[in-house]
Amino acid sequence: MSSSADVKVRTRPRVAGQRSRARGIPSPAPAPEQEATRTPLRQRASGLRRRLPGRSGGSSVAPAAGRRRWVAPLAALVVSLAVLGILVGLSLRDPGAQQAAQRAAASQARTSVEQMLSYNYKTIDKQAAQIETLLTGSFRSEFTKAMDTDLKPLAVKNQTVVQARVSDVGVMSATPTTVKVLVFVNQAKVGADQKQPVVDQNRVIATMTKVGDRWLVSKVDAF
Amino acid sequence: MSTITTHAGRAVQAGRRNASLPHTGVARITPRMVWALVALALLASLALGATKGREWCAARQAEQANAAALAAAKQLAVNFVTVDYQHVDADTARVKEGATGDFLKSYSSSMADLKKVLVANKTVSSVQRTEAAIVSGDRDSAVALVGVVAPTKNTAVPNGETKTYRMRLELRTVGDEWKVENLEFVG
Repeated sequence: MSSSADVKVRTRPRVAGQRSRARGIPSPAPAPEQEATRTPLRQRASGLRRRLPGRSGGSSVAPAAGRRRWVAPLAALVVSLAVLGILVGLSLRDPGAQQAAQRAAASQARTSVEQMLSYNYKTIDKQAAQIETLLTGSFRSEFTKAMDTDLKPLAVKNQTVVQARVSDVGVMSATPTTVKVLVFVNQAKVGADQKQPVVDQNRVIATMTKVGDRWLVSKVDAF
Repeated sequence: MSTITTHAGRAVQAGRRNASLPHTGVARITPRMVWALVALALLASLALGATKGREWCAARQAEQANAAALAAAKQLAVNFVTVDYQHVDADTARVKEGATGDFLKSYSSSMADLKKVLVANKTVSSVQRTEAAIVSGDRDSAVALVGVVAPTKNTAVPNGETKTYRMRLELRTVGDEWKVENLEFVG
């Protein structure tokens, strides 16, 4: 076979570059043909031998063999579905949630700190009540106490009007339920003894805590 | 409804395969269909895992970048405020190391005048407290705030006074490092 193929190729007219390819092809080509003519009997025999016990077993212990066939695919199905389920569960957690929470807490801190640090001696009672709704935990009662004992009497006495304005807010640290922010806030103050507004440039650290779906102030520290 | 149709579809498929492959004999196709389902589930897992994994990675990288930027901002603010007239050059060299772009340019160009003033006034400034926060940031740029409390001494206040600074820093990555390209005092 191989020699005849060789001869056929050689009788063809040669073109530059074709020769090397032509020589390469004939030698591997006969191999499969030889295999095909030589081995089928052996293959068939072994195939039969392999199949025979399976068939006889299939008729005598059919339920066991049938069940065994199902073990691997069903186990694989359970495992693959479990993997898929876990991944779906994990993917429901939004990777951007932490960042969104920080932004929400920071923007709430901006308005809360402005409200907390602004007051007018004429409307201070109403303002204090409003501010308290922005606070939580022990800080809320501390604030109420400080307001009643120090701030309010002093503000009324000096006819103080304070307007706070936050210029910058940044996040210092964050967990899913608490965000610590640094706030740069200016307080413009006027009063009976202070006709021209005086501006205090403050640095405030506020701890925001998530209560329900709101970010409330749980601690304030000026430095 | 959907489950019913798929069952029907599978039944039809199974029937057709049995008819077209009679030599398989007793072997039913159903385990193969289970394998197909397994393959489908694995493909879906792979797709989901790849997309979500990438998102998760990006979020984590942004988090790490923010932390690194915050540390760099804090360090630069400390270096910027810490000055002793007896070794101004070493102090300012530290600041330059953490600076880039416009800030590096303006700081370097004002250096000569600054040094004269510091030496003439015998200024010694140190840092008592620093607090830093991130305003915004991604993997290669960030804006940070730093508040500094700095006890300062000079010929005008020989007993010292406590100064406070509010800074807003813009940072950028240069190679692997975070450097400050803009520094302004917040009034």
